[in-house]
Amino acid sequence: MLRRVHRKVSVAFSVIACFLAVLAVRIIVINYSQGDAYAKIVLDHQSYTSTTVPYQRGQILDTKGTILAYSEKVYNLILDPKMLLSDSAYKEPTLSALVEQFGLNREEIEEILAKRSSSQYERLKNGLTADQIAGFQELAADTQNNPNIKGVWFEESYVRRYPFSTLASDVIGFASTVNGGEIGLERYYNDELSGTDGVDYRYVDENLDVQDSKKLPVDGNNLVTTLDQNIQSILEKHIAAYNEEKPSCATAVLVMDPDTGGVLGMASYPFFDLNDPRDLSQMYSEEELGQMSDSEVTDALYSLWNNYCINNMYEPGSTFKPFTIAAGLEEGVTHDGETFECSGVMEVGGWPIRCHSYSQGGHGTLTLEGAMMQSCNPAMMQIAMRLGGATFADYQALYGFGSSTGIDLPDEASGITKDTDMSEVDAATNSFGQNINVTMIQMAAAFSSLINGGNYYQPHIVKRIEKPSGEVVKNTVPVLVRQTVTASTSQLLRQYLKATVDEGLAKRASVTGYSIAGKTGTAQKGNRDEQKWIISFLGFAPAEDPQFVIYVIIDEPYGTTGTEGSSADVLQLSHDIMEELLPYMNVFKDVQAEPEDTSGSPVENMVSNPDVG
Amino acid sequence: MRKDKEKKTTGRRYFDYSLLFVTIFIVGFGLIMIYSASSYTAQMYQGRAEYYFFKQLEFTVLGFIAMYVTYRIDYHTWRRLAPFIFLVAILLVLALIPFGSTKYGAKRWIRFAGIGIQPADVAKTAIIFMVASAVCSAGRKIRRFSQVILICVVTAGVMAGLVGIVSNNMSSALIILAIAAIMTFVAYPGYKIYAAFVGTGVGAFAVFYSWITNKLKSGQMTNDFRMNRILIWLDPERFATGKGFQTVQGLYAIGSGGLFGKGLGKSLQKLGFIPESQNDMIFSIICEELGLFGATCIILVFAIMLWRIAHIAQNSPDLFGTMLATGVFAHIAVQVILNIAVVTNFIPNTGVSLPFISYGGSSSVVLLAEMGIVLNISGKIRLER
Repeated sequence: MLRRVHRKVSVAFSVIACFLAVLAVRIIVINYSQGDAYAKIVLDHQSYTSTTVPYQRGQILDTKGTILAYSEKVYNLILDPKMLLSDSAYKEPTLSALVEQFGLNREEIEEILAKRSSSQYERLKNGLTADQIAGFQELAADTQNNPNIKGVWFEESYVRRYPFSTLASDVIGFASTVNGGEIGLERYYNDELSGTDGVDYRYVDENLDVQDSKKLPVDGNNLVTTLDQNIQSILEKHIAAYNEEKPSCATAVLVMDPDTGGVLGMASYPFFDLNDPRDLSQMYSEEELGQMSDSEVTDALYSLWNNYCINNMYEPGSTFKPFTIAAGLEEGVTHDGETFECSGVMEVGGWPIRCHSYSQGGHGTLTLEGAMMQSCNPAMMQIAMRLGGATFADYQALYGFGSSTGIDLPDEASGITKDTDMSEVDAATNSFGQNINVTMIQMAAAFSSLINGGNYYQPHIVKRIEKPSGEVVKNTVPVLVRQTVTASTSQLLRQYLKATVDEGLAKRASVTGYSIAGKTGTAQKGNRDEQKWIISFLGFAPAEDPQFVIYVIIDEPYGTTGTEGSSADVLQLSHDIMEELLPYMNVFKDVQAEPEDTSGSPVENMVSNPDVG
Repeated sequence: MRKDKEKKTTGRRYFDYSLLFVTIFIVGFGLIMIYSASSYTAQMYQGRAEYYFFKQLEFTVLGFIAMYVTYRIDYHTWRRLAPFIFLVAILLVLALIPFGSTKYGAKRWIRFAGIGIQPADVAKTAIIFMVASAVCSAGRKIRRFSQVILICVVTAGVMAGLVGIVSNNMSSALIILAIAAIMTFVAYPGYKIYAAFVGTGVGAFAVFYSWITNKLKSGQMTNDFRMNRILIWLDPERFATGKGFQTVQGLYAIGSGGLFGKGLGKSLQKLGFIPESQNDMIFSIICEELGLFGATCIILVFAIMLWRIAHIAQNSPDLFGTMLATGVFAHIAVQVILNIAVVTNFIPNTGVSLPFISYGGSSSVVLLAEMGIVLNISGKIRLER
């Protein structure tokens, strides 16, 4: 019997061995049929976390290194409800610490914990500074006394700050976290200012150690501009003071270095706070804002953010006259000392076109210099007639009118000029700056070339791009674009323009002790029947060796509708600005003179001419 | 002890060193695998990578002590003790009702003086003693199949029923029945009835399998709990995020191992994907880390161990020794096969540990004690020269 039992043990072993063989085959089958797919799935399991390490956006500096815009590192307070709720001991001390350190509402956090208990990312507070979070970090780090503060961490982030808030607001522009640069330099140089985010990978390596691999962020480049914070402040101070008294539609001042094309100051009123660019409360009442539709709010914001010096085009008026005279001198159709007759009105192409002196019966006999000083329209018209439409159009193109200057700011307007089809009437009205649309930057750049010896430099705002380390990425050397006029013409114009301030209609802009040159303008805006005006002053100092060109514009000055009014306000504003600007720029007093009361000196009056465009 | 001395005079004493070495090897290998499979989760949740390793090391030391004790006890003693042990086992199972601690919806543990005991493990050993003892007592009556049925029902049936009902532990109940079945198969002289049983079983399974797959295809499935388990078995990847998670992750581990595996300690699936990978699913980690080669070797080592036990059973001087060794053989064989079948998704998921390798105190101690008994039987073999 035992022998039979022993045989059956063998049978049982054989059966079991067969089972084991089948299982071994099963494992082999799984490997061969699904091995690759499963291996891939398992590799996908390789869990890792990656956190973005944000880059620091580049700074915007003025010419002397004053910081106009920078990014400050801040911390967002992040709550991890899942972690916090993983142990009942964590909740109470963590909530207490949060309430105590950040003044958060306990009920609100409880609500988040209740509603989003499985979430791992709930942002409780934005933009905390290192000082603000230091207290909490100290508590959390003290694991002896507070072992149960869990589920709270700080996400690094940057917030854009503009230390001078409203200074050069529409030039610097602002940046949002979503779109980067929105307007101004922030937008034009967005690619330079932006860097590349870094990444912090954490993964479990094959030895089961948690590896921390960091790819450091590349910070953005810094912009060094030609702007001078002090000049800009002077401009804005006077613009604000003027508008406080007499609100205008817009007031803009552009100060440029005529020898490089660098913009020293560029201000356009109204200003806005770059740290809160979407605040319209200074322009509209709460009630008005409540009634505005979304598109109206957007329109209002864009008009607030508008940079008048770049984005607007308008008819310049008499400040265009130096360009007409320069073209006449270059072409030899007029010469220094030639005399012109002015009866107050001149008929061109069937249109009677008036002079500013129309009401006084005309200027009578004037020299070329006198025509500039008295801002005589008929003299200009005669020069333009002699040039002819085609040649005058060529000169306008040479001065850069009708095409954008290429300044490093977004959305530059290019103006509107007549081309070779310029008619006699066009030429006549263009000669004193009507029926031609220009931008301030075009005028300032072209005017700089008229008075610096004829060199047209491309206007620019950024002079250097640097890496955060200070290494120079790009140096903007002044770009000489072309020669506009000869040195002798330039010499004559400086003389005429100095005389215009010394003894002509721009006398009120003069500053005692300084040789200042310039030209006023009173231009009629768009629709002639509306009787709206733009008054301006385009000047430079010192007269013989210009260190800056200044262009001041008041669009629709207060109380100048109808034919009442003059260029007096803009001259006063120009005077006020230059009085402070000249000493700051270390311009030496080169004129021996006693202070003079210029308040009674004659100014350019407004004259309404038919719209012949 | 006097008997031992008698034998010394009649022939040289035999000791199955290969079985001892195979046992030591597989227990040592199990310790290494437990450390590898559990270090990550132990570090995470217990704060110490060696947590499970050291606990298992304690069980192993305890197990070897138990093995030495049982080796020193003459195996005939167990025949006298069998009814008593059987009674103790039943009481232990019943003790689960008031004292058992629940885990995964099943009462399986009694905590006693800081040690968790699984009465089901004791029950498995008790059934080996009881059936062996009953077969010997039956003597020639064992030739009647009714006697086989009687033994099975009275011993294994009662025990399996209790374990199944009290602790809701179907796999242990199944193992108890299988041990009894294999032991009586060896004792009973005929083959036909068993062949008929196996044939009927295979046929019934084939019918059931085709029926269920048809039903699955036509989409008429009820949301029955037991049905779900079968559905997961048939198509585990469909339930990969839910109840099929463990099964599917185990398959991923096996499949991703390749021929030689990722190398010891380099499993990725143990990083939280296979829950408690040091327990029932440890074989999948072996496949992942050591590959087809390692897994086949382990199966081979188990085969050698079973062969040695079968060899001892065949050479035992009396029927009781043969039956005892066969019982241990059945216990190990059934658990190995069921465990690997579950891991490879051959059968629906049920909790069966891999002998000597899976983490677990009472299982290790009980199995090593059983090995001690087998070694004691081997010591009674007379060598003929």
